[in-house]
Formats: sequence, C-alpha cells, structure tokens
Amino acid sequence: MSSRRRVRRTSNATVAVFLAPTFILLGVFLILPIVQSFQLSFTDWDGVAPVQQQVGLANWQELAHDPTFWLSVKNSFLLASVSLIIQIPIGLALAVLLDRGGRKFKVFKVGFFVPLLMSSVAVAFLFQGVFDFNFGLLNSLLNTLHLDAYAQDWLGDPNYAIWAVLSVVSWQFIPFYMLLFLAAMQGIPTELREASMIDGANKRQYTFGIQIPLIKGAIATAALLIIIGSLKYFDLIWVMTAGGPDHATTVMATYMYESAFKANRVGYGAAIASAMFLIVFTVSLAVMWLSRRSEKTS
Amino acid sequence: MKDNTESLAERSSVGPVGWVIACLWLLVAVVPFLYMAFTGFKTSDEMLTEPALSLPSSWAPTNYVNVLQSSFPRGLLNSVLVSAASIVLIVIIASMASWAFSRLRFRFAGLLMALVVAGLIVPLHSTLIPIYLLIQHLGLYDKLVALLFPYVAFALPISIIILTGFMREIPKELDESATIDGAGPFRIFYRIGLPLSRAGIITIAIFNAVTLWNEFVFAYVLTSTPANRTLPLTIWDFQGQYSSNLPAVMAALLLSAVPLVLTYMVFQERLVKGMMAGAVKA
Repeated sequence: MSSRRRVRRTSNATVAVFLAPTFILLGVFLILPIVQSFQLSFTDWDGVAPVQQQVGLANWQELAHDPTFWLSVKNSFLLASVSLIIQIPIGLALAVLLDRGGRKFKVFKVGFFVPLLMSSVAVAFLFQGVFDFNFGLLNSLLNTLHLDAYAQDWLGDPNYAIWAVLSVVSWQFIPFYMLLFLAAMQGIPTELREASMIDGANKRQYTFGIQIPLIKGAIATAALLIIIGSLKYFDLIWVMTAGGPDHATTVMATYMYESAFKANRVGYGAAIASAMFLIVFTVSLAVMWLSRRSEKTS
Repeated sequence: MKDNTESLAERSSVGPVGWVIACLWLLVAVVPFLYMAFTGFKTSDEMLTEPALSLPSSWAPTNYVNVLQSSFPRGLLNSVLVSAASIVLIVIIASMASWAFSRLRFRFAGLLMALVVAGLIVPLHSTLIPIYLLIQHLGLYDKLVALLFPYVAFALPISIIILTGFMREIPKELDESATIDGAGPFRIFYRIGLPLSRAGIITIAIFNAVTLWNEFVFAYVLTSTPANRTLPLTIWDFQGQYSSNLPAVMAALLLSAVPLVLTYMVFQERLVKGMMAGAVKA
C-alpha cells in the first residue's frame, strides 16, 4: 500500500516548480509582513530614524489604554453587525422581488446594479457631495419636502457621521448580496417550485418555507463575507471622513494608517496593525468554524 | 382552494407592495448617480444657487473636457496596464498552484492548502507598513511595477481556491491516459489542464479585474506622483486639487465609472458571475 502510494506521488522537484511562485509571494507579501509588524510593534520607530529603538511592550500597554483604539474596535464591530442586520434582509427582499418579477423586472435588476459599477473612492466622494451641509443632495431634498428642520451636517457631526457612513456602506454592498441570493434562488429546481404550488402554497409560503431555507448556504456565505470584510474596512471611510470628525468614524484600519503614516508613529501603528491581525484572524477562523459546524449539523 | 388558484395565477407576478418597494429602491440606487451626472454639467455658480437634483441649465460638457485634460487619461492607462499585467501573472501562478492542488499527490498538500485558505483572511492593512518599507528598500517606491507584487500576492488565495474547484471537475481519465502515453506533468498541465480550465480562468480574470480596477490602499501608499497613479488615486488627487469645485469632481467620478458601465453593457451576466466568484466558501 505505502509503496504504491510512493509510486504515484509526483516528484518533489515537479511539485516545487508548480507551487514555488505562489508560496514565495505569499511568504514575502503576506506572512513575512505580519511577522515584521509584530517586530516593529516593540519599537518606537518614527519611520525615519536610522535606529529602531526597542521599547518592549510600551506600545501594547499604550494600546490597551488608548480610548481611540477601543473606539475603532467598537466601530469595526458596529460596522460588521449593522451590515449584517441591514444588508442581508434588504438583499434578500430585493432578490425575492427580482426572482418573482422575472423578465418584467429587468429594468430594476439593471438599476439595482448601479452602485456596483463604482469604486469605493468614487462612492465616497459622491456621498461627500450627497451629505454636504450646504449644497448636498440630501439636505436639498429635505428642503424641497419642507423638512428643513431635519437637515444636518451629516458627515461633520460626530453623532450622525457613523450612521451616514454605515448607510453608504449598505448602499454600496446590498446589490452584491442581492445578486448572490438571486443566483442561489435561480439555482433552485423549478420542479420544487411547481410542486409547492400544486400543494397549494402561496407566494409567501413558497418564499419563507422553501426558497429562503434552500439558500441558507448563500446566506451563510454572505454573513461570512460581511463579517470578515467589515472588520478589514478602510477605503470608503478613509476617503469619505478619514475617520473623523473627532474619530467618530474611525475603524481599526484607518486608525492604523493615521498613526503610522500621518502621525509617523510607525511602531505604534505596527502595534495597531498586529492587534488588528489578531482580532480579524481570530474572528474569521471562529466564524468559518461555526458556519462549517452548522452546515454539518443541518 | 382559493389559495391554490391565487398562488398559481400570481406566481410570476409581483403585488403592488412589491412594485412600490422595487421603485423606491430603484430611486435609492439611481438618484445619487443622477445627482452625480447632473452636477457634472453644472457651473459652480449654478450648483450654489439651484437645488441639488435640478437639471443643469446647459449640457455643455465643460467639466468633462477639463477632467479629460487633467492626468485622468494617464491614470486610466496606468490602471489598464497594472490590472492587465497583474491578471496575466495571477492566472499563470494561480493555475500552476491549482493544478498541483487538484492533481498532483505530494506531502503536506493539506497543510499547504490550509495556508492558502489562511491567506484569505489576512487583513492587508496589517501588512501595509512592512510592504511599504520593503518596496522603498527595493527602490520601487512610486513605480507602477511595485503594485504588481501585492496585487498578485493578495489575489492568489481566492484565485487558487476558485480555480482548484474548477480543476477538480476535469475528468481525471484525460490526464491519466496522457500519462500512460508518456506525457510529463508539465505537458499535461499545459496541454490538458489549462485549456480545459478556460471557464475558471475567465472567472478569476474577471473577478480580479474588477477588484484591481478599484484597488485603493496599495496604490495610495506605494505611489505618489500623478504619472504613476492608478485611476482611483487620480480621482483622489483630482478631488484634493478641486475640492471646492464639486461639479468638476462629479464629472471625474462619472468618467471613472464609464469603463465598468461599458463592460457591464457588453458582458452583463458574465461580469456579474465573475464578480460573484469571490463569494466562495473557503
């Protein structure tokens, strides 16, 4: 048995040729930088000085007592949980509508897709315009509807900024999950639908009794992507608010960038980067493990 | 009985509530886009005095022409170059690794695949400082070519996972009979593996094209001069320069969306499918 296996095994040299480019790149650009981030987190390097002064755990101790860091962690998890609560139900509802509407809803399908045609940078600047206090679309619409009293400096007021950001994130990503769910729904065999109709199920019973339970896998995937993606979020927030005002919209990645590249505290930024790695990696593994386990039991 | 007839009759139709929701969401999705397009045609004065969603007084494309005379075309070209070169490298490197994972038998295959999967959840921001330092050290700072390394490296895990899935579906009999005919593993990969994985290769190419086209953070950190900026950063620089001129910024945003809009109009379902490809269960 073992000898037969050895015969069928490809020679090590061959395997090495196939895999070397991948693992060299992963090693140099994913794994090594993580190690180096941890190393830098024990220094107070400013990015310029020729010597990297070792400071032991000083950065990590500061991090543990830094309210802005904890605010950034809180905002990252807020982004993940609000995205789950908003994006999945709306994405599902729109997918059900498109699925029921069929060809008649082609216009809607194309229209709903529009946000996906823009980069995060473009979306961020567009919504800076939408939320602008004086000339923005939102306040202008409120004005037209005689709701001026509700006009706000949406991105300038720390109380509203995080919700403004969350709504833009939803605007950008709901179409993605909608299409993911729609694709899963269209994979349901038509016999199942017909059988349920013959058994007397109405639309609502079909949607909640058959359609949604059958695309549980796609919903779990969406949840996984939302959680992992939200904790790593950077582009849109950095471009739209740079984490402000007064750190109200700061998340782990923006705080890391601000510390390392703006305040030139590379050592401290590396500590944030390393903490972010530990948090994102642990949560992602936990979520992946949970989704696998629930798949096995169901 | 009533339920039964109702459900059959209404099955493919949407009730009034559904229509209302669909129309409302259409407004939510499209109105910001219209606002962007209209504002792009306005003058600064017009923007200050007229309501945000009013039609521009003239459709003269002054702002759009100004954008096209800025470094915008350069950014567009840079984005095309960087995306295309990255995709070629990603396809070559990922298909080699995927072929190994789907076909070759070797020690530690499971462990190495687990490493690839782990690569999916490495937050790229945690690698940003060391990669910035490395690129500077290599003398590649502010060179387009610097982007290729992180672009390819971070695209590999998802691409390998997608492609390995595709390649596992290729019947093993094909390469087994080729082996008997005396073909070596490289020949089999090149002659059988690659051509039969065409659909998978197209999928990862589209997926990475969209991702890299919109990539922001590496380009932000690793380049600085307009000549070496990709499109998202051209927009960023443009906004920095004309932050008080909202119509000019909106014109730039609209133009930046044109390539993807055109791609969507031509390829539709294929583009959608490619974009969805990232939603694989690791």
